[in-house]
Amino acid sequence: MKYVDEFRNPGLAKGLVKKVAELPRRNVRVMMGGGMIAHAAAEAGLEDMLHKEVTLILGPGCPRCVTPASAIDNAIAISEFPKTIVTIHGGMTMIPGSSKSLEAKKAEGGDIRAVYSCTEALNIAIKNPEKNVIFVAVGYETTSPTVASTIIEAQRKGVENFYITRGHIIFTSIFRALLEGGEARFNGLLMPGPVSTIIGSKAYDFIPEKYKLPCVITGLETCDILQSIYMLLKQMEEDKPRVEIQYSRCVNEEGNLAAKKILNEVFEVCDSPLRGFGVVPKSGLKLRKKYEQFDAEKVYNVQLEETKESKGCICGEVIRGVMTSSDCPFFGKACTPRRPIGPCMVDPHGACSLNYRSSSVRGLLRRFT
Amino acid sequence: MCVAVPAKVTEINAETATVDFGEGTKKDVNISLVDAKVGEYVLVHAGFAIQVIDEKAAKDTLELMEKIA
Repeated sequence: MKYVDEFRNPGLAKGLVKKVAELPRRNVRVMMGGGMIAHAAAEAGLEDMLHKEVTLILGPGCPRCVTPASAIDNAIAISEFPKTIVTIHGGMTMIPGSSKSLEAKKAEGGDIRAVYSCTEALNIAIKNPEKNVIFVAVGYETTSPTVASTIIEAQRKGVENFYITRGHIIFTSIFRALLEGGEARFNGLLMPGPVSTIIGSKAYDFIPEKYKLPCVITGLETCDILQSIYMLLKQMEEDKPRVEIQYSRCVNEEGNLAAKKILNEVFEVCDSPLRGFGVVPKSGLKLRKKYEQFDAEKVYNVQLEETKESKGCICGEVIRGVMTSSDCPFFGKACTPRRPIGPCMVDPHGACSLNYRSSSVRGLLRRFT
Repeated sequence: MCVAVPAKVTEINAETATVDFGEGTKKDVNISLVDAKVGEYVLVHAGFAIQVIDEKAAKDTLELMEKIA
């Protein structure tokens, strides 16, 4: 068992598609709670495979997309200080701030380095004791325990030139905001497996309890997603909304207790801005007082001018699932993956990037077949 | 960024383990967040193992898929 190919078996996928098509339903909208689900679904061509009455919509699950422009502006401002190295997860460097991305800032001469992990950033700090090393901390509970663990390691090793920014987001807080807002129309939620391995299935109980929506935690291979859609439609048919775990090989009710413990040890909950939502109460994490020596905000007193999102860009609405890429006047014209305007086009897991690529493939197929 | 990849634990040294992603790709990862043993598969994200993959649950899921399909 390699836990990948077995769950991509084309024969099994075909059988599952057939079963999904046989279930009775009418115009069902399924929100994919994570960019990775959408990416896997697009790669497998699920949208075309499934009956037209099941529409897959992309919600706000992608951390690069919900990270606000202010987080990027803040990192750019910090990089302008002398003797400062800014480190960030590789995928974040192209995300636009108010006026530019970190990639563009790097081209201007800023010392900005893409890293694979927070541990790598800490090692850069240890190797460069004469400089301050900042790690731009973004992402959900998949990532935040790895950062918490690194902070404890930094303290143990007595590292004094290492700092992180405030950017971690509590995954479920976005869906609380989304459902509270009541704008998005969908009949069920697919939640991504990786973050759920940490937070556990109980974290989603409010979805069926308060909003009467079915919810399935899914693995990210083709057959996983198909089985999860089948489970969601079954729940709808039975009219008994609940949280079900399809990705049972990695997710349980409680989640990863060691990871949750270390998160709680290092961080406390705070209000935080999210792209598309504004400031959301209790949605972010900041370092607890006993670790505040690693808080970049305590060292770098950055006063940001008002954050600007690109005018006319509807990424905020796309993230909230109330509009789609094709509603945007820039989509595929001024805004393409090579010259993106908004985060949903930058991120390969973002809705606009996925829609752009799949519409290009469909266009080619039309032209050549 | 949220990508988590399955890999097999081949060696453990205190909080660090060497894991094999297949096809010869090996990497050292931090295993302090999980209780993993040599030979087990873990889910790796940003240099950390974030969960041990339950083989029995995986087999049950495949069986159930086959039953549905």
